[in-house]
Amino acid sequence: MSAKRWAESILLQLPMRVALGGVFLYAGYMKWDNVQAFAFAIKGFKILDPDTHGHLIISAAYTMPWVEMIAGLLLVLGLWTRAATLAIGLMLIFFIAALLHVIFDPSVEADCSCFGDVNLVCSATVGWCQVIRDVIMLIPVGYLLWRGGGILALDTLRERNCTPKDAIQDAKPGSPVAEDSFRG
Amino acid sequence: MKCVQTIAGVLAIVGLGYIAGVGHSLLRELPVILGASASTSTQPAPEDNTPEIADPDQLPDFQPDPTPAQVDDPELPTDGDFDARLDAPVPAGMLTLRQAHQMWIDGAYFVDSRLRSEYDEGHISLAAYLTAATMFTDEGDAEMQSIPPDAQVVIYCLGGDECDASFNTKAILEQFGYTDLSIMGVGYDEWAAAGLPTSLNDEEGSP
Repeated sequence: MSAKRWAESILLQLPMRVALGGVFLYAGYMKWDNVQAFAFAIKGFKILDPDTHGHLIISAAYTMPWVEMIAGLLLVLGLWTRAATLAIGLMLIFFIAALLHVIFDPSVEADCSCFGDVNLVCSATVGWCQVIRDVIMLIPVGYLLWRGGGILALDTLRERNCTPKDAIQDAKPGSPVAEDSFRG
Repeated sequence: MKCVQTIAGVLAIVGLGYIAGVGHSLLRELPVILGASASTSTQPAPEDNTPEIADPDQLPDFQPDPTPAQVDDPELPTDGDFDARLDAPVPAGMLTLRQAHQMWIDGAYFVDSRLRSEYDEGHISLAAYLTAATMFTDEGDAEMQSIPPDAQVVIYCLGGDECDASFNTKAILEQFGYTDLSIMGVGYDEWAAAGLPTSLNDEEGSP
């Protein structure tokens, strides 16, 4: 493995994974810690009518914290990095859309509750600050989707363990892949 | 192929999250509720919204008996504007400022359900801070311990259609067995603008 790949992994991929995954792990935990408050927060965004679609709000209030925590943990560990990154990216895009909905609808005034009762960087009331914060978080998402988790991710071990078996099954006899696999 | 694997991974994460969420909901003692909304549960204020108070004339001369050092000394306006503020129309089913103030004098418990920062900047004198965010914390437990379930409780936030927080707090307090809950139709700003007692310190409970 080249020094360049090590440097990229240590200087870019690892910090991005830990920071982004850590933020989502923390955000998910804060929501999980008070599902009731999070359900009220979702209701406050007025995307769904609580009278007709209250069950969806409650389902989201229970599911989203877990999805955030699972995706965040996988990203920190570097396990299924691209899937975890894509999940986080999709959530960020959804959050940005929800924030813009509140910002451009003058009849809606909502509190972000992005990190439960804690305000990270921005104030509690929804505004452009939260949108900018989420857009900034999309930068590492794009990079990690492009480049993967890096050498220090657990994916490296997983792929190393999987490759010989997969390669034996997939590759035709005599191909370079198959021969590499047999060499171990 | 990698793309398909990545999408499958995302679906697996969401599915796992959903299953964990279902498990979480089964383990939770109290169901998650949504309660009413300020904009959907209220109707336009009726034209005749005269509060039912035996002797409204007494109100401008109010001075309950909280510890003077803990309460700002309000300078009450003496013009007709004051009565207009007290009787400002509110959505049906909510308390006018006059009714809320009378209940404050009578010793009702007041609960502030705005943001913590707004509470710290000023709140109705002796009001407790209790919101959906703090309700299931040690702080919320302590606040609820100090309010008997059969006590008169008045909840307020920003008033009118501007915040659901009062409705949310009311819905949770109902879950905990509180029966005499009212929502102040106007917000803290109207209370303060009328010169009624406000406080910056941590004094809470009943006047």
